[in-house]
Amino acid sequence: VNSMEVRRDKDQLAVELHGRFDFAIYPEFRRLFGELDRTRTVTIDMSDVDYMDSAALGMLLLLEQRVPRGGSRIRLLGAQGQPRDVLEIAAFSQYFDIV
Amino acid sequence: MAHPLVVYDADPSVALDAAIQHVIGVMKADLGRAKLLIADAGRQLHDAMTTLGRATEQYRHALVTVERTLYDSEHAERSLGGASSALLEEFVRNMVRVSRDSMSTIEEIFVLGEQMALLVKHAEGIDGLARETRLIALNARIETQRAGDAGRTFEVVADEVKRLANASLSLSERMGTAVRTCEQRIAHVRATAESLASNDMSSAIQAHKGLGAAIAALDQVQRELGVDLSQVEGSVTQTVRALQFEDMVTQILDLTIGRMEIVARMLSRVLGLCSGALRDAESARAIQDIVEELRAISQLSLVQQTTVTEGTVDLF
Repeated sequence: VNSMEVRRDKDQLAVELHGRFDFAIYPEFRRLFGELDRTRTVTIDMSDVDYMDSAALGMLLLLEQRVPRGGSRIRLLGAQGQPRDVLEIAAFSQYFDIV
Repeated sequence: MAHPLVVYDADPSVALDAAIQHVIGVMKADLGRAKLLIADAGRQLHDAMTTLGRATEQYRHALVTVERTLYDSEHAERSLGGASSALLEEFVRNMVRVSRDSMSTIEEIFVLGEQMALLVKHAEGIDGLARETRLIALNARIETQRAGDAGRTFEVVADEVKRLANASLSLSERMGTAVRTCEQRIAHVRATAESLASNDMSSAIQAHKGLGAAIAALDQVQRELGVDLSQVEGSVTQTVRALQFEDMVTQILDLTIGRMEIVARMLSRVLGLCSGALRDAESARAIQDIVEELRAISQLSLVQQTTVTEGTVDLF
């Protein structure tokens, strides 16, 4: 099941993604844009993501562009298998902290 | 040149001297043949090593050309591997850029959709107001008819209000139709942008991994071939250096031949001094036996050829 969970702790936003990370999740994903004004750090846990396509890359870049000045780089956690390969080939380490 | 073997019955020492000179002549001839064989082998080894050295140099040159063509880390853009990597990176960069721009467009479409929803809501509001206005106009007309002549002027106003309410209703209907058309067009643009944004990355990942594996394999082959060529070149150099043994052996053989000639002359002089003392029967028989042994020795022969190519070769 593709889903997204969001937790807020003061100025920290923690996002958990599950299943496929593709365009289908965008209506839910774009709600994060409205959360960024009062956020300093964003963490996206991708350890339960088993597939991502180029639309997911586009979504991450849109989110990255909307991080306010002074905020730290978005951290992408636990990506493995195909999602990690996609992040590597797209050279996303230049925009995100991939852990 | 070997001396002919002649036995003089009258003086055994003369026969012995002749036999000794003959054997020494045979030995000198054998040593001369050995020199020729060594010289011939040396020449052929030198030629073979020179050919091998040139072939190795050509092979190394060809190998370097192949390596540079396939993958050159210093001038990656000129090599097949480097150009392929650059092409793949550019392809992925473009794919990411298109996805980002498409998602940006889609986000604008989402915002537009929200505004369109507001527009629909406003149109519905206008529609409601028009219906209320039309109802008020209808009530006003009823009231003017009830008022008789006094309400005739007001009846015209009520009709005009009704006409405006109907026009508002018609306008809000047209607005609704236009909004629905816009929504359909926007849905179409969104589907196109979604299609542009959504690309499977599997083929790019496979190409990237395949290219990486091919370049790693080329690096490995390059290292292995480089080591082997160095070993071959080292062996060639070592062999050419070792071929200097020919000069040293030839010098030793020449010295040995010279010493044999001196020994032969000395033996002749000794036998000349002893010739009178060896004429008794016992000495004559002993000398005859020695002459026979020397004859047998002189007939022993292992190798007759003077070049190494005349015989057969067993390798390993």
